[in-house]
Amino acid sequence: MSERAGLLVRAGGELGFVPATTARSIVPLPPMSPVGNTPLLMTLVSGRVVPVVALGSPTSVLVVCELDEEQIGFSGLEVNAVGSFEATERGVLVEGRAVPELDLLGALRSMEPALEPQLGEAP
Amino acid sequence: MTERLDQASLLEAIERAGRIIEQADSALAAARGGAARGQTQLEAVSDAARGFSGRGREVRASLQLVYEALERAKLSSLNAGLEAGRLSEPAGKIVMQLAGDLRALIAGGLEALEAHATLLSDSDRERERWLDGVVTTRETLAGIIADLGVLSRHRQEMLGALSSLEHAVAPLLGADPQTARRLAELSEQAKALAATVGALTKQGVDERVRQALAPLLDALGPRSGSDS
Repeated sequence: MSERAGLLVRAGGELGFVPATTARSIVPLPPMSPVGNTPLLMTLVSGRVVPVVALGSPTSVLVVCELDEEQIGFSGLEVNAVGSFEATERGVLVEGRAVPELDLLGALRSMEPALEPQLGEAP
Repeated sequence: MTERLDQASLLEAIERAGRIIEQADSALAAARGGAARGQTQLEAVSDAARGFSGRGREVRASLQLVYEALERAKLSSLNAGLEAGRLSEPAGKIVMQLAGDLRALIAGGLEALEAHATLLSDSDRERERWLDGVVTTRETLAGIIADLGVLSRHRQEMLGALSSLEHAVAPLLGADPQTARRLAELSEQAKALAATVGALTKQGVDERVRQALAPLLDALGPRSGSDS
């Protein structure tokens, strides 16, 4: 039986798993600024500017992840637990219940069209 | 003679009523003093309750600081768990276990803190009810003091009325008030004697005693000498 370490988070009422290899840290929710004409937000974490993707209504924390060697913050997540859990094909098993891994990269990619420069706008 | 005795008794009754009113006056003054002291004590209780309210805010502020510190500690333990997850066996497992134990302790602390906050809110509500009660009691006491004031005015009026009555009755006696007073006292004593004689007669004392006292009993009126 293989195990996977990571976070159990609740996003919009659904339980999800974020691997420890992706999640870098959990910080108190900092003040955030909107990025004009995009659904993205920006914030400062340990002196670094980090883009933030909102996955739900804001909670008290920001989960900072590393995706494609870039730090991205995810808000709207409620951290329930951290630990090592039994691995499954699509996530982990927690108390006999399958918890899928959150598709954070997919969430980020879904925003890319909104980030592309539009005609008549400065890049 | 009987008429004069009755008039003297009337004067004596007026004077007795005056004395009773004076006694009532002392009781009235004591009641007003007590009510005023009660008001002062209620003010002190009210001030103390307001001070207690300020203390409650201070306790709440310090509870908030502890809550924030525990929340930060919880985040730190979660981050320690994450780091442990990235470490290889067996060190990772040990750190993960330690972080988990720490989180359990912090969760207990947070629960206790929430219980404290709930108790504090309950005591706040209790204090508010208590303060409401103090305010109501103060109002009631103020009403009692006002009523006592009215009573005091009535007492004055009653004393005035008695004085007028005394002056109205005095000429009827044809004697100065001092003599009338003595006469009234004598009348009371004679009536008591007559009642005693009446009682003794009923118990079989010689009728001659009653006959000897008959003129006095007649002077005291038709009901004298009877204990009925």
